[in-house]
Amino acid sequence: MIILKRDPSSFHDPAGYVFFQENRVFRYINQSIKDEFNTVDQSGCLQKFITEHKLVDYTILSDSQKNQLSPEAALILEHPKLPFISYAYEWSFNMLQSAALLHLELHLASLEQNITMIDSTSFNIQFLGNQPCFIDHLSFRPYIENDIWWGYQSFCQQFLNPLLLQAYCKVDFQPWLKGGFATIPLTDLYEILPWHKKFNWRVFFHLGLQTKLQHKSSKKQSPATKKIRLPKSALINLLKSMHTWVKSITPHYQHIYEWQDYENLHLYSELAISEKKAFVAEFCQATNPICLWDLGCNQGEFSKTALENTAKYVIGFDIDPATIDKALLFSKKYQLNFLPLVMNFANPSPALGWNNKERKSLSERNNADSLLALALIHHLRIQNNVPLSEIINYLFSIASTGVIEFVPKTDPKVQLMLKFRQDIFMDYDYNNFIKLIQEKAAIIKTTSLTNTERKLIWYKTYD
Amino acid sequence: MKHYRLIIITTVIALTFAVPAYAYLDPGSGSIILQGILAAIAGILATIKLYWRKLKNFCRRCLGKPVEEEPKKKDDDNPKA
Repeated sequence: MIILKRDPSSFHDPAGYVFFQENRVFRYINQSIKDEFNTVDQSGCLQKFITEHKLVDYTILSDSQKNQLSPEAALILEHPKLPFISYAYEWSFNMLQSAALLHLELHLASLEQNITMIDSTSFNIQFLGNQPCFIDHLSFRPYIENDIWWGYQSFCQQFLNPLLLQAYCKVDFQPWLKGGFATIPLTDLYEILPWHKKFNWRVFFHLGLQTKLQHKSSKKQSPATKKIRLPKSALINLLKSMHTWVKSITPHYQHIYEWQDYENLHLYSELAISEKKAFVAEFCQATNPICLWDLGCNQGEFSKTALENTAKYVIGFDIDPATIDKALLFSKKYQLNFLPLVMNFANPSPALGWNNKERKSLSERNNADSLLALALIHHLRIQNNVPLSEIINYLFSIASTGVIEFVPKTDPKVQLMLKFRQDIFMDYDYNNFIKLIQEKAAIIKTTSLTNTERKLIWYKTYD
Repeated sequence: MKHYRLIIITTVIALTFAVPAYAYLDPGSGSIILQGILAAIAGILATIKLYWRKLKNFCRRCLGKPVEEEPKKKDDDNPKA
């Protein structure tokens, strides 16, 4: 008998779970939910969403195939494996907003077929390149007359509140979502909202009233609350009203990271930029990356170069959420196979949730076969004090081959970083950098960028 | 009077014979009560819609304006042969 390897995060819904078998992705469906799933399947709404690229595809295994894996299962679905799993605390404002809108649109469209959605969690949405895609097929169930929106509070906490935090308080939501496991409680957000925002009727209704009712009812729980029903027309209006609001929210940023607009600061001459692109192009042509990680991707200019030179998929990371929003627009504009994510490499996403296994750390999700670390390591060394050898080892642990840019202390950018502090970075020197690389990797090629003292190093680890 | 009875009976039925749901997550009591309020608002609006013409005519009568006539039923338009 085959022991099914259940995904550690797939335990919330007793109706079924996701498991992996020989690098393939399956979904186990319990007997108790078989009829309901068949109704949803026959409604045609799942197929419609798949055609519109809004839902991950699925195939129902034949009885013999199913019985080989698990005779107890009512049904087993197979899904295509996604290139990368990302979480809401790694998304930019526009990414979370488009995920929220997708969720509401799917719910509204399924209600037309008398199907509803039983939850609202950001973990049910993944980004394929720059497009959000829903991944949980068991969220769809036949609509029961006058049923409420079960995921209403969850939607507010996982989608609406982070968006409002950024829009109304000018606070980046990513660290809050990371600390609160992709959730910002209603009471927390309502407490810190600027007073004048509380006069907004939508804020009053969805946050204020819900928070107050929650407080009151928690003191005196009435069984009648379990019996409350909501007419379908009211449910549709609630979803539509939420959609209109979410769509209208615009981000506000308190600070602009120093390097956010570095491409506009003319740190590089046109010639240096073309030299850099040529180097990246040559590297990609030679290595044919299947998944390249662009660490410190900025808007994604060099990710685009990589994709134009045989790279199949690029995941870009940048510390600044506003920059990742720009990168998302850039990815959409050029229709790139490029997924930009918010990430601070001095504090990458940890493992979170139940038993620290529910959501994987960044290292556990590493699928890169090559990397770009352009204008990154001086931030880690000089701003975060990470020893140079540690930085190199970390980069080698991500990918066995890649291009690293070395920015020397004489560079105006590093001079700016050192302006108000003592230079304690004795190891930060080009010769030492090369020596440390050569302990574990071969240097395939190096180049100096014109009019700067910056250098590019193409490495390949020995093992 | 008949309408009041109908609304009360419908509400009682809706609250008493709640069908089981599939949802596995706790929706939060605040969210449920808020949706209950929405349901009540929807009910009130439906009732207002039902009595809208009567209300309008009542106001018109108070203001001394001519009242609108009730639309004739289709059956009246097409009398039985």
